[in-house]
Amino acid sequence: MLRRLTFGPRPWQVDDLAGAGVDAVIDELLAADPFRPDDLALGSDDDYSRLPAWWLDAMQDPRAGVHERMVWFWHGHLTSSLDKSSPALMYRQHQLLRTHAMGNFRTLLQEITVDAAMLYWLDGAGSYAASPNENYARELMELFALGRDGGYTEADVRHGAEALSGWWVDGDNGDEVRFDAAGGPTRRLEFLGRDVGTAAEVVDAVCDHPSCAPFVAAAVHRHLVGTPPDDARRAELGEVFAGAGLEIRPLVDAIVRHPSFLEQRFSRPRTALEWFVAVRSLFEMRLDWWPLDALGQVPFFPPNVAGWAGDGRWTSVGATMAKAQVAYDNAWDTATLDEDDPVGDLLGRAGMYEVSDSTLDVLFQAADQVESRRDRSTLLHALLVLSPEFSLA
Amino acid sequence: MSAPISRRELLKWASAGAGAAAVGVGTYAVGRGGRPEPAGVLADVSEAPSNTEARRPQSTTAAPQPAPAAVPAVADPGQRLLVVVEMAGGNDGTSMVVPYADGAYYDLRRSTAIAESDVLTVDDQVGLHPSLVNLHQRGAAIVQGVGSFESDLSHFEMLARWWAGTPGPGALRDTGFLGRLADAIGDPAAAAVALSVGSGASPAIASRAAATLAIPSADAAGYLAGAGDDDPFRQLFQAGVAEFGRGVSWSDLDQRLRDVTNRSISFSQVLQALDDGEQASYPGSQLGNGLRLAAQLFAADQGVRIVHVPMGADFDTHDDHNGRYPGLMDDLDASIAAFMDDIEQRGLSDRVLVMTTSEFGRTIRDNDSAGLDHGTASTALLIGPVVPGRHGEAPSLTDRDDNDNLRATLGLDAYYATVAEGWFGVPASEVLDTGPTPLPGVFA
Repeated sequence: MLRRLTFGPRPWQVDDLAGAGVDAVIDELLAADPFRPDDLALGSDDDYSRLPAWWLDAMQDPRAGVHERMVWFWHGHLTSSLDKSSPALMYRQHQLLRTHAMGNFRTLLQEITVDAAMLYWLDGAGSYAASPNENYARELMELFALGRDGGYTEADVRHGAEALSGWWVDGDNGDEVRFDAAGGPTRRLEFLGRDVGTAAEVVDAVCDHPSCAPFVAAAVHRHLVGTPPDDARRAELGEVFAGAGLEIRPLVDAIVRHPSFLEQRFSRPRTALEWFVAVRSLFEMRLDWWPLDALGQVPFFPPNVAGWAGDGRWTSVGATMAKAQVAYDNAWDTATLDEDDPVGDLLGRAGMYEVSDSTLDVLFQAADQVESRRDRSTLLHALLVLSPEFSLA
Repeated sequence: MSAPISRRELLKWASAGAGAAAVGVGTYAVGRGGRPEPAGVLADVSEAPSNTEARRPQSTTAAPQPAPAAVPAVADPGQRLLVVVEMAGGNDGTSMVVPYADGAYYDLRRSTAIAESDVLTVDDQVGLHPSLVNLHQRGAAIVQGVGSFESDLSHFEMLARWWAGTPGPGALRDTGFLGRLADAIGDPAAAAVALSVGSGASPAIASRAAATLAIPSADAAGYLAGAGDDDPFRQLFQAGVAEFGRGVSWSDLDQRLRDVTNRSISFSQVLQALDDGEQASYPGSQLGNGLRLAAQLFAADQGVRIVHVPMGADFDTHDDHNGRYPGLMDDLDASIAAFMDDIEQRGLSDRVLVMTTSEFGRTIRDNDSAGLDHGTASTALLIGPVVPGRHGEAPSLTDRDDNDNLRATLGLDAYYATVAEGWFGVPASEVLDTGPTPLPGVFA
């Protein structure tokens, strides 16, 4: 539960929660206040290193919970990348995601549609009605809100693009987002069966479309549960989400309190980022983010507009070699484990209470083969994070 | 704190991985442990990424010679191998292969033109950059005007298109061209059919089924295999990881994780066992190191058919083009020359093709900083058993597009199709969905 709803568990967090019933734990996690990390000192426009490091630290913070998890979800769903904007603009968009991560989807979509980093990422910036760029209109429907089979047409893409035109980013004035009426839509357009003439009306039409609530609900389900919902469950969650006026918190509640959430345990790999944050927590270190490149998942740097797709890449040979490097190179300054029960101490820190006999055998054997308590601690930490169990969520 | 990382460095580190499938659920035995002790202090152990490329170009002053006309013997397509040299940043094809006979070139390049007397003459139209002495001697197929007909001036967008093999905008990219090529030609049992080395450009090799992987360097293999008796701690670590691979699985997903552990160890063993060969004199650059690894892997014959090597050099010459470009060409020339010597010594000359890629060319008019901005069409080179000389149509220097850039004469997908069909015998339609026509006459 902690692996899926948060970036946990942190050392001993499972012990702290033990004894409380499942519902009580879920109540506590869902009711937790959003974590507000200290503001980031951005540095120069050319310094792309601080932003991922800052967010990793936030994810690792014991106060980070389901809200942080949802910020991460939205970053992978309503993608933008440092590739096409500056750290300052990605940070601005990140704050937008933090504000609305558990709030209202319509508000989030309205605001991110005219967010500077998004305008750059999907070419809305400088798109003029006479020759509109279709990139955002298409991805808004295909990837963000309706789905490829969501029931929109190429005419909707063209008309949507025209109605979304006229926005630009004023690079000479603090990258303020501005609307230039001269480049914007000059006529009413038919879009998803409605009559629209502004970006806000486009987003409203998308949010009111019958495909929107089930599509977004299914995406949240896939993120939190690890598998897509079946058709019936998808429709049910769509109704919950639509009925709640696209408020995100009731949707998360409905997903987490359903039996499927607890049934789907250890049924997907931890993504590279989840694994890496878990290593940081267990090792109690602020490891720099660059191994995430070899692992295949750098925050603020999604591979494409669809975000980080699929499970396969988290169980690849390249990722495994990179994990071994992270584990071996960084285990030297981990906590020195209990003299009498180093394996139990280690598993408690990792919050792991269901471990296969095979893995226990490996750990106990390793512990027996090292004389020095310090080296034993290093070896056990390095091995545990390479066990199959540590790579599951 | 970590060192600042530039956009350019970050750009080199795009992310992704290889494909796989199958998920399952299972139950398993319950272990137990745990006794709290005070939590350790958060340690800041951040480390800057290593970016220690030493550029050590070899200068050669041999006199230019005409390119050889004879085409070397070629192995059966099922045995053929490919190296892709990626020149990230946007390589100015017009400086690599100079249209010295076109007066417009000297009109437009006020501060960056290369004098006719300096170029290494290929024919009565073009000559190679003065640094490409070895390539001039060996001969290369010069593919002219490669790019996109709906060009974009963003590094990111165009790199993504090149990796995907999609010339136009808008396509979603789950796989890369090289990944699909690996699917088409690879041995399903190989630990890796395609490998990207030295950088994170792995979207290029993302496949549907074939094993493909990106590694930071050959050194990464030392973590999972090859610990000697002088390093008993690392031996214990590697023995433990190997035990995880052998462990009894309790679900399909658990089995998949164990399988990938085993495959990772196997491939690390392959890398550890590579034969250094005759120690051809590679430059100490990322390209040199990557090509050295490619030659070793090809010689080991463990199923690796494609090696993708991004150059750790910056072709984004917005300023001082003529001060920066010769170093880039020196590295290219010396690295490829060493590689070709190496594979010749290993008896692989008839099996290996080298192809260059770059996301775009540069402006034909130089700017006020004696540099060249983002352009469109560029020139690519194919080295190996090819018909040397110019192929395709040279882009006009005067009939330019709305951005004052060259118009591509060959889609990047057609360039890829040329290699897929001409070199590997793989129908272009199997690996490219845009229906490109291969360029004829490149391979004898």
